[in-house]
Amino acid sequence: MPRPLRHGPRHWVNYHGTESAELGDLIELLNSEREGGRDVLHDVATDVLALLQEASRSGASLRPLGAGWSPSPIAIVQGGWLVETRRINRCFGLTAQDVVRGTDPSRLMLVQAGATVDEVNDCAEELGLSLRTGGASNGQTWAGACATGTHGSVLDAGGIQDHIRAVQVVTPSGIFWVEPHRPVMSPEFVAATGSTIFRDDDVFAACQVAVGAMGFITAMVIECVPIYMVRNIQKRARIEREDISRLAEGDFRGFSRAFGLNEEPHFLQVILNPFAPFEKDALLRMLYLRDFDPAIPPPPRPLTGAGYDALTLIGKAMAGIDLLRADILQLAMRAGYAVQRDIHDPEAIATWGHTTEPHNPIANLFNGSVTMPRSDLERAFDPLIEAFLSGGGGTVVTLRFMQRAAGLLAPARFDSNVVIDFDGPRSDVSHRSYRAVVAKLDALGIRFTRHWGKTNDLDAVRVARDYGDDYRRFRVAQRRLMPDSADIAVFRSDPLVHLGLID
Amino acid sequence: MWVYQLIIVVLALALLGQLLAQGGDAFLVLENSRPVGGDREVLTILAWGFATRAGRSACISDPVGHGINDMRFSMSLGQILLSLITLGFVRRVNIDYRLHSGNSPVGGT
Repeated sequence: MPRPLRHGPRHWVNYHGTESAELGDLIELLNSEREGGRDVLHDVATDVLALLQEASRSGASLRPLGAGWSPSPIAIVQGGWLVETRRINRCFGLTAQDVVRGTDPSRLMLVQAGATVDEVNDCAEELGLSLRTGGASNGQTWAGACATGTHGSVLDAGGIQDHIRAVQVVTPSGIFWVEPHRPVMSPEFVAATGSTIFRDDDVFAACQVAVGAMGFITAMVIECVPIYMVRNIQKRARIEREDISRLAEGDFRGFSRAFGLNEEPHFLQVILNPFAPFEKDALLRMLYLRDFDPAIPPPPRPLTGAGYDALTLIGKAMAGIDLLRADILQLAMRAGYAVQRDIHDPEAIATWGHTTEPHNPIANLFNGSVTMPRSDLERAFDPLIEAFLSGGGGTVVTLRFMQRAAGLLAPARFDSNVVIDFDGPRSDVSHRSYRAVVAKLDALGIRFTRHWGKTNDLDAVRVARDYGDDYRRFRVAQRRLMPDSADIAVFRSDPLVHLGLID
Repeated sequence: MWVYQLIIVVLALALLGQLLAQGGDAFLVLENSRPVGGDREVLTILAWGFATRAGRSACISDPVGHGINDMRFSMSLGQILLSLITLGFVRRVNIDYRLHSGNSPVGGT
């Protein structure tokens, strides 16, 4: 197997250009050239183990790096080693010999940590499967997306980490196959991957949203669903205050009847202009489940690039002038939904994998979000918009909906969640407005959490408060997986210490 | 004559527009994008391109041999101004690129 590539000390910038680090070493894992998935996992984990042990001996901090997609500094370590996983990106189908008796392997897939969501989608479709949910874009690595609790707006699903059934984790002390108490994979399979079985419900739940603090995840077994398609309705429309109430009540069918099809939507997303949420058009996206039809060709890929600097420029312009802010933002929103698909237009139907957005570099964006109980949207909406504008505004406000997600540190921790995203140009105004929202929700006494991978202004005290007993269980699980504190120390980074996830 | 003044103003605006347009990005990407790693090469084009070809090209290493996934061409404001001040004699261009991570079919265990 080719040895990892060591690029040495270098300046590193994340995918969206929002964070950077001076690295002690940038190391690129190369994939095993062997045929079978068991051998490939064995080879890669052995390489990772050697790197971790070397880091431990030399006192270096080491962090796994996926696509570097998170706008927050969660993945980086100043002066340490970043180990890039993008080339360990294969997927494997499983058979009855790989799983314990009573487990159906036909919906399972073995995924290496560096495969992007796009690659996992492609592989799933090759096996006649689809992911149940996913984020808005698909350029994150699978492990990275799970580690930060990435989610979409599928109404009856949780986060992307809900797909996980088993995880291969490497620490300086060994290679572990982590599963919940109820086994999934056969002992022969686990042994062939060079791993030691580690069955523990809390350790598994901690690994589902690991935030990079539960060792080095090298592979996962995920469970998909039979392949399906969705019909896309994407349009600009003016909504009313009552529609927000309807969404807060979970009457998605009623919302869909008013703006889309008279059927239960699978996915529903509302993008609002906070300067005039009911006076200017909102951008609506609703997806409806359809049976898979192989005769429907994949949609053409949209043009790439562009938009990048223009959006940043708009943000800077909006930071400097008060006039016409609502109109400038609306202009940007119109550009974002240049193509509309209404109910009377020719039907746009595609597989789930072809529905997420492609992964091109986007603008130097600000991303912040809050996740709260959906039922609190009713009383939070007006004060939240007011608080957001008090900071100057500057981003669009997106409403997405999802169920409770798996994982001890999953931000979507309420029974039914509304996720409110603030995505827009990166400027002080955007950040100030987001902070005002956080302060207002606290003042209203509304419980909420924040996305690990986005700008979040979290610290250790707040994380402990937001996650309560689940935070305590996470830290206990961490020590169960890595009883030697020197093992945990290898993964130490300033952002993780700041969040209270590593001492 | 006001006509000449108008022509001068239009030409000056056209020049300014052309200079600003140099800051626009051009982006080339493979259809089924699989990016990994990458870096930035800054090329310096001397003497309006009449200098040696080596001055207008760069070599990058591709250790795994899967080729380039995407490239983005751009000039920063500073590079545009440098080009303006030197009357185009020195032109610096950024090429950001990422390599392709490989595209494997689903395997067996």
